[in-house]
Amino acid sequence: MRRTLVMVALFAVTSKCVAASVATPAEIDRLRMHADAGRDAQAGTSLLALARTGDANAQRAIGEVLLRRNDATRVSEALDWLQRAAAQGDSRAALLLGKTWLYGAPGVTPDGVKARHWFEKTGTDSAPQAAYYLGLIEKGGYGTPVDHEAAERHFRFAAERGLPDAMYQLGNLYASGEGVDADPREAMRWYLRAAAFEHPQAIQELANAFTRGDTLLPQSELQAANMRLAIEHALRHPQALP
Amino acid sequence: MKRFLSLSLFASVVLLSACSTTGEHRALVVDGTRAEVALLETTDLHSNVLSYDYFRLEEDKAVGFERTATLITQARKQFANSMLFDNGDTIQGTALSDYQAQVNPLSCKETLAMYKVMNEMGYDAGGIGNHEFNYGLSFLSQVTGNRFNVNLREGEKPISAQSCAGPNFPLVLANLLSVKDRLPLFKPYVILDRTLKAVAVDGKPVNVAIKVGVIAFTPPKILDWDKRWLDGVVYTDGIKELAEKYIPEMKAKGADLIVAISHGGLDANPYTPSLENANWHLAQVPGIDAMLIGHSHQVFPNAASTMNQFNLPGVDKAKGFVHGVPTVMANFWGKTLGVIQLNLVSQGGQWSIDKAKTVVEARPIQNADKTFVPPLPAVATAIMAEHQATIAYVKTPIGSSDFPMTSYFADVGDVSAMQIVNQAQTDYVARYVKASLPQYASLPVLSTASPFKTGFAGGTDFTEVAAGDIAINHAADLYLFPNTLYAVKVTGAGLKDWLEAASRRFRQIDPKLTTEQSLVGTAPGYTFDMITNKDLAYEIDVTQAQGSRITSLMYKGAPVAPTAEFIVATNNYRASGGGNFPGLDGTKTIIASPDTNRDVLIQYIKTAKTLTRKNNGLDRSWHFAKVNAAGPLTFKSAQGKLPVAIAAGLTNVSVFKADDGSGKGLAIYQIDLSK
Repeated sequence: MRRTLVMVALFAVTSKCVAASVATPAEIDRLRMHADAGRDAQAGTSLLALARTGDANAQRAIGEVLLRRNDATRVSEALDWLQRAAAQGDSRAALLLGKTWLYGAPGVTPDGVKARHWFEKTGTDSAPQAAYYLGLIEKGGYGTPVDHEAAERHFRFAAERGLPDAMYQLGNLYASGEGVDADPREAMRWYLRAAAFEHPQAIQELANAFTRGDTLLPQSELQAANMRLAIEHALRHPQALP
Repeated sequence: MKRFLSLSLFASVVLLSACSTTGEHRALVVDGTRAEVALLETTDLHSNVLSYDYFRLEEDKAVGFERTATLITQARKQFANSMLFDNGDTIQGTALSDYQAQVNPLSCKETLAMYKVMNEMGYDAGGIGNHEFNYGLSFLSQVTGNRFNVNLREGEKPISAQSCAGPNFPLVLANLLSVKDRLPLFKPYVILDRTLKAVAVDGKPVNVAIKVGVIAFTPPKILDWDKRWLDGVVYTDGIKELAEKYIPEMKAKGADLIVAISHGGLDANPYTPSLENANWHLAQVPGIDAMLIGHSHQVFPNAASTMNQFNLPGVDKAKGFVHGVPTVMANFWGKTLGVIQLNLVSQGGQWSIDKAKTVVEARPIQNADKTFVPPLPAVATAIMAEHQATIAYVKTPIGSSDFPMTSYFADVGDVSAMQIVNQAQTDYVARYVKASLPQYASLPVLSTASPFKTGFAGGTDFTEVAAGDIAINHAADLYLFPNTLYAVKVTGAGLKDWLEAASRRFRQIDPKLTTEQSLVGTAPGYTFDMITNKDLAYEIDVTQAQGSRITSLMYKGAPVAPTAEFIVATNNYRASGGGNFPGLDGTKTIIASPDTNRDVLIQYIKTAKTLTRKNNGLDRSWHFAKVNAAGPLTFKSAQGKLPVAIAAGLTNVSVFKADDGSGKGLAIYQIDLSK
């Protein structure tokens, strides 16, 4: 405990300062990088100290570091820290909890109902991301009957706020006529928007369109080949989940 | 060429001395002395040394450093002073780079082909991109002439005992540190001493000294992208924080100009050290005189750009400024040379930039009339041996086959172009699960593959790898897309849904109709995923509506329970939502391999060596349910290919019309589903 206090002092502005103002979000993110990839025990201790004083950013950061260690005990601890952060209204912690329940993790069997609970708890700053996952839940029927119309509303909300994964899913709904009237041109417009963000699957739709010939993308084997090269490049640095 | 070489050698020598001397006294430049200096940028060259496509084995004039080199030569003639920088993503991206990294790894005394030609051109400094890490840290350490002080992950060969041949210009990177010693792997910055041709106040030419500080950054996300090499070995630190730390230090060491090379684009989201594209924030760090950016494969400045990143507050996309800092991004694959022209004026013994005269340009290798600038012959000359060796490698047989692998009759049961893909994928995933996912060791591993080419463009648009030797470039015919191998965990119900969705390929057949009915609908061939596994069997009943066509789905002779669990090997596209297959939305993925399906296929063929129809071309898991149709059921394929169907054992196929009349080399075939 004494050590903890020493570490806190490193960041403390004044001894009277409350935890929330001890370190900026950027400083905490930097500590997280050092603690996680850098395997820097001191950074980890500092984060833990900040988390214990109630700093929601630090609690979430600890949760992230532990989640990436990928074993059941640490995942369980991670969920605990993330819940503490979420209880303070930390949107990104709620988002991470939702993702952990949607995708599963060591010791965590995917559970659509629990995932939805957390996605619905995110605030406005993570609303587009949460909407994307709620779209997946509605479309996939995870712990709920499949509802394409609801999925479409969620994906559109997220897509209009710039999430390429949601743009791609919305494109798929237009291509298949799920939740909306089938509209291949509108599908292609959304694929084009997602492809501008190097979304590999969206680029593959463009490659397919150039191969078969499409009203927006006329048949061109050269363009299809260029798109295949673009997929190769994009897959070398896949975007993280929203 | 000689001139550039000697210039760069000279540069390295003075650089060494510059590094050890700080705070030296220099003769003051007379006030009012002017000099123009052009900063030239290449970025995302991706080892495209020549204008050549190693897959198609033919010239591709639209890319290639040999043409960018011509633009560099022209710029050097145009400007009194110029400096040449590379932004990164330099050493990976073509068969040439794969050949030098993986197939016939470069010896310690050899210089990488890409760096060889960069040495020829006399670069002043370079940054490090994210793709530099693709071949691992040991390789990067070797080819950059470094000896990284790191504890490597398993699977890497040890760091070389001595420094190996590398570029003769400094590579700089500030934000990557070793977990072992907590120090940067590369020099975080360099200060280059140069002599400028300037003009004195009286108009007379005069040579003056200048110190140019160069700092460089890579995206922090490398730790995710190349996790298999980097996890636990290196870490990144905040780009803005490091710029704020190092730039004053560089100034204190006498840097007159600060050039930031940053492999990334622009993002106006609130700054945080893990931000991938940090340069919108970096530009706001005091002291940066020019920014050379990359990574996004875009052109900046570009007045017409609709890219979000170039339409942010503080960004002048027409003139090429970010928060007032001249900034250039030079596209990719050598298509473009970035040029920032600075006009320097000396005042009070210091250089300042006459900002009104700063000009930023992205100069393409393609001329306005669509022709391309000619290549600089010396580039090709320098790496001809490596180029020829790569071509020979691409053509080298990796195995052989006693049967043609084709997609002409993939719709009706010839699995010759898919089974080898499924076998390779299954083998890879089974081994991966055994080694790394023991919790799934009891689950059966299946695999799906679909025909990529099914005649959209006519009779020649089918996969066809002839019997005989199989070369690397044939693997690209068998696996058209550079997808990466993914595996998903699905239930029996999920597997059935998957196969139902794949059977959208077929129209619903009315057996009572006496007229001709086309069997194949509008769903493209690449959505017709199929399993080719002795243990699994299913029938497709084309008389049923979509959703109830997959009948008698059996595993090892027993019906597949909806709650059963399987691992299915596929690709990133299908596993992440491609083709809109139910439930395949990324949430079922248990393996997201960085290896491409194509490379997995190549490795499998190399191991299997000899492929036979019996072992690698006949295991169709699926059949059509019997249909006694009153009229003919037909489908299209290339003309004159009936013997292919017969050789594949499809005795129920016959020619319906030898020419479908489309003029595209297609015929109409008939299939009898009553047998």
